[in-house]
Amino acid sequence: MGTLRFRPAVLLFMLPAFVLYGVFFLLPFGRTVLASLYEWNGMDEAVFVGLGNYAELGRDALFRTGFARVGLWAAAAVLLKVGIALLLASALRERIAGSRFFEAAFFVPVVISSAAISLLFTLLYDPDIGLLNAALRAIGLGDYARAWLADRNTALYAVIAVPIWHTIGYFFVILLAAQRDIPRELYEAARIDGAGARVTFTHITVPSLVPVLTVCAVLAVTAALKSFDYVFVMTRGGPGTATEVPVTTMYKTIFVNLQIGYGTAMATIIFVVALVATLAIRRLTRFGRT
Amino acid sequence: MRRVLLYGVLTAHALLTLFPFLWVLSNAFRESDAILTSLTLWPEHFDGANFIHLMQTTNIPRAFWNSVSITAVSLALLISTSVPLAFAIARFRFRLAEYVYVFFALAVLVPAVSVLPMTFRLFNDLGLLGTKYGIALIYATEQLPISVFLLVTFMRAIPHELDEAALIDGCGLGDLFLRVILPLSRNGIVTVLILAFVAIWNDYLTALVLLPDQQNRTLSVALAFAKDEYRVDYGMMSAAIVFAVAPMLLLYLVLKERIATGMAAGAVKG
Amino acid sequence: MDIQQPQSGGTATRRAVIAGAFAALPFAARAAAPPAPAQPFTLRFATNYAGVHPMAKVVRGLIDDFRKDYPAITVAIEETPGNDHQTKIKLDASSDRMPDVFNYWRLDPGFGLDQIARAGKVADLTEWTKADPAFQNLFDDYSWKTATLDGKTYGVPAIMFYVEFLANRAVFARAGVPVPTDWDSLLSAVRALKAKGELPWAISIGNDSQGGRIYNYVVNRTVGNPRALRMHSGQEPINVPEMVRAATMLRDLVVGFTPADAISINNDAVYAKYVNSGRGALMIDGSWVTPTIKPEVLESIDVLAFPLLPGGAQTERNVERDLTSLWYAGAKPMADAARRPYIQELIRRLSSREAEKHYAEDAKQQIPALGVNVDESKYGRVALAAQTMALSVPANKWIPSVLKPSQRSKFEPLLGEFLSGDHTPEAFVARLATIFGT
Repeated sequence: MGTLRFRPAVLLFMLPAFVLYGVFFLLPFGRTVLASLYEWNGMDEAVFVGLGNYAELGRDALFRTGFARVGLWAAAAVLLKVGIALLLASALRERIAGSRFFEAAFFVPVVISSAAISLLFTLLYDPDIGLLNAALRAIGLGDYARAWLADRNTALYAVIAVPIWHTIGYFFVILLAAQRDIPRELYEAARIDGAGARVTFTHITVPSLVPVLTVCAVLAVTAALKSFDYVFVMTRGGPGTATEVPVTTMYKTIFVNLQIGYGTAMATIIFVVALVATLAIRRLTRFGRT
Repeated sequence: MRRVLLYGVLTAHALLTLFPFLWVLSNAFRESDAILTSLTLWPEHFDGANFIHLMQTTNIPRAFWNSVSITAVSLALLISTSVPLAFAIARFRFRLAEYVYVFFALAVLVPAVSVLPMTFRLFNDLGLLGTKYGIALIYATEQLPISVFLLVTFMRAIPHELDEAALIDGCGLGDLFLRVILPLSRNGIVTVLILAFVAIWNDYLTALVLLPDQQNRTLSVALAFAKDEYRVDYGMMSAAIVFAVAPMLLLYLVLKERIATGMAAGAVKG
Repeated sequence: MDIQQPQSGGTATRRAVIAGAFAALPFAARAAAPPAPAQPFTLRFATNYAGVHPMAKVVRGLIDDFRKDYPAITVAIEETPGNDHQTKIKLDASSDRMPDVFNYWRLDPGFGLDQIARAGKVADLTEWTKADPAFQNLFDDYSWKTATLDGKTYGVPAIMFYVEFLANRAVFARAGVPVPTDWDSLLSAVRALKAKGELPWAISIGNDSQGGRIYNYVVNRTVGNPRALRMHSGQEPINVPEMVRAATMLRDLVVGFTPADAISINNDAVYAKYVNSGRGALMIDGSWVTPTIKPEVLESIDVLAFPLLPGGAQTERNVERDLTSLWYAGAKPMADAARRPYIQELIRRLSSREAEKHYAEDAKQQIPALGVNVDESKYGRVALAAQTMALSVPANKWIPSVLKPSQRSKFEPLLGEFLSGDHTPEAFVARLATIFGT
């Protein structure tokens, strides 16, 4: 929280964002939540069913297993995306020869759309011409070569790996900017005290970054919960339903099945789960700070 | 030894990161059948057919201009709403500040696909469906939460004594915002701009739905016409990716310079 | 090229279209073309015939001609690529802003237009299409039936397809295996091909894939198409011995004989990887794929008839054939008397014999229109042979067409799992029964 005394003029600074957010997010979002109480195909008269859609969702095994998958996805995203980005950013905190190049290079995948990235990995995972199998064969692990996206034992992991690879650069940029905002004196002082790289990292870098790391963790978790393109382009939820996640199920329910009430109920549940996860992360990191 | 390890890791990650990009670039010069039967980083021959075919299939220059102008309007709208809000949350002491934060965070938790039917209805009701820049309202709104998140974090790192000093010096709130906080938040603003730019530039589904008129369509939508119901031409698709990414990459490199300048200024002061 | 600027056109295609219109003047004279409208207005035309779609150029030419003849009407084209067109039309329907004219799939539940039509958003064209001389003898009853739902005709046929079963002679020759002629030789051929290290089936078995086409054939051959449709719409029990037998035959024919990535690969990628590379022996697909096969490969391709099955209900070698796309009009715009004549005129032009001739010759599409003088050499040997075969036998209806979307989204992954060998025939049929509630 800031230190300046509040005065009415501050509201003027907040007003434009509130108006924008109210009309173009809260309004449609409110109508979406409201729609989840109805059975509606988008055209005919909507029939009020109360919490009926939610009751039905409780019995929907596909939707439930979807959450288990996306939970794994979110955990991997936080650990690997944020973890690797943090290490890379720490390595480049001090400018070294070539750091401009590395900074630019790490960010490149982020500028490509997730649909295009997914298309690319479809080919990289290809059993015959894919890079992954070619690399495995080259290092004598040809026995592990397989049809990654067609094999129900590997498809989910293969899918999850793609967004991790894709957005490490995103978190890298955030964490690099944040690290360079840490006062240099802290590091200087530590060096004078004879602290090594590991100690500086755990005692200065990480504690100073807790607020930003919280944001990163929230972003990684919510991105996992909301991700649609990767699954949709690479597997469409298959083989069978092995990579089906809540958002793809919701998309099909709304846009293919035209069950808008049922689909928006799914959306609401996804929202609630994301909200709980976010609050939990904030609670955890706040705990870590004190 | 330590330096060798450092460079080894950095180089490995850079290669891992850049490889697919080179691969797309190479494929942009190859035929779809060749792409699906062999993997190479160097095309058999440089053939511009994919690019030419793409230009004939869809109006790239117009779509490019639409993307540029719509993204610019969205970013202007985003910055003019998110920066003042972040300023209020980060620098003032009031009980609601924390809640305002959480309130705006709600939108991060909602998948865009789920709200799309209702957004479409709203646009229809407001008569925004035929317009070109209406979609900027949605883009700015979508980016608002993350941007505020980041800006607040950056602004909180600015020493609080500055505020008091400025106000004692007789600065108004407007001066404090424009002359003190804004310049010192430059790193944060540039980061927000880059990230929002990427998200807006690459958006497909929202643009597809909210910009029905073919005159207004953006680059990512125009490029999607490289596929149809039964056919995907991977060569053309790669050419499309190159078209979409190249301008972004250039802009990013330019903006990197800005960050570096901002950083240097901070160092001098420090 | 920009569609909104006809002067930038002037391509060979457009000249061809104009020439075609002149050649067919007698037909044009019969249709009652309306005079210029009293008030200028905008007509919305929504389509996925855009980008690389083979129909894009021809339809663009027809729209340009319409614009030239009616300069007071602004035709606003709303293009959406591929299947995203479904999302677009559904959203338009939910906001009550249906386009004036649009192309769309059939009225089958799987594509969602049936609900939109039943909600009164799609114009009922029954009386007009019956009365207008432009449509007399233009399509057969089977096509009109497909354009009709609950006794109301909503669409005018645009293009059609049939399923073709193809064999690459070169692969059979390489393995020293004879090209199959009946069920037994087909079963032994896939085994012999595999033993020789060849790929028996160049197919995908994912959602809505070529694997589903084989399912259709085997089930239809076993229980007959009408009964298959009843079973898949919950009107008749599906967990019956005949279905288990069909599933067993399907397993024997397909499981283990497809590419390693058959369940994850897209239908179109199958052509680049396994057909055009000359690797796959057998393929089965809609007629729209013939133009995507390379000429060198096409030379060694033969069209086969899918064999009759021992003890099966079907005694003729029926082929699945249907419309893929029709022209529709929005109900609200069509109710506006000032617009109606121009909507009708545009649809008349889009479905005329001249237009259909271009769909066939320039876009290489199969057309439902009768009495069109098509230069058949433009189709090529394989397409023509498949066409002759398809038109000489009774038609099968696509089984998933009777599925509700929510059933289809369960049915397709299940079929994919079965074709990868995850379920026994008995378990598969039992699961089908839970999907169809029988």
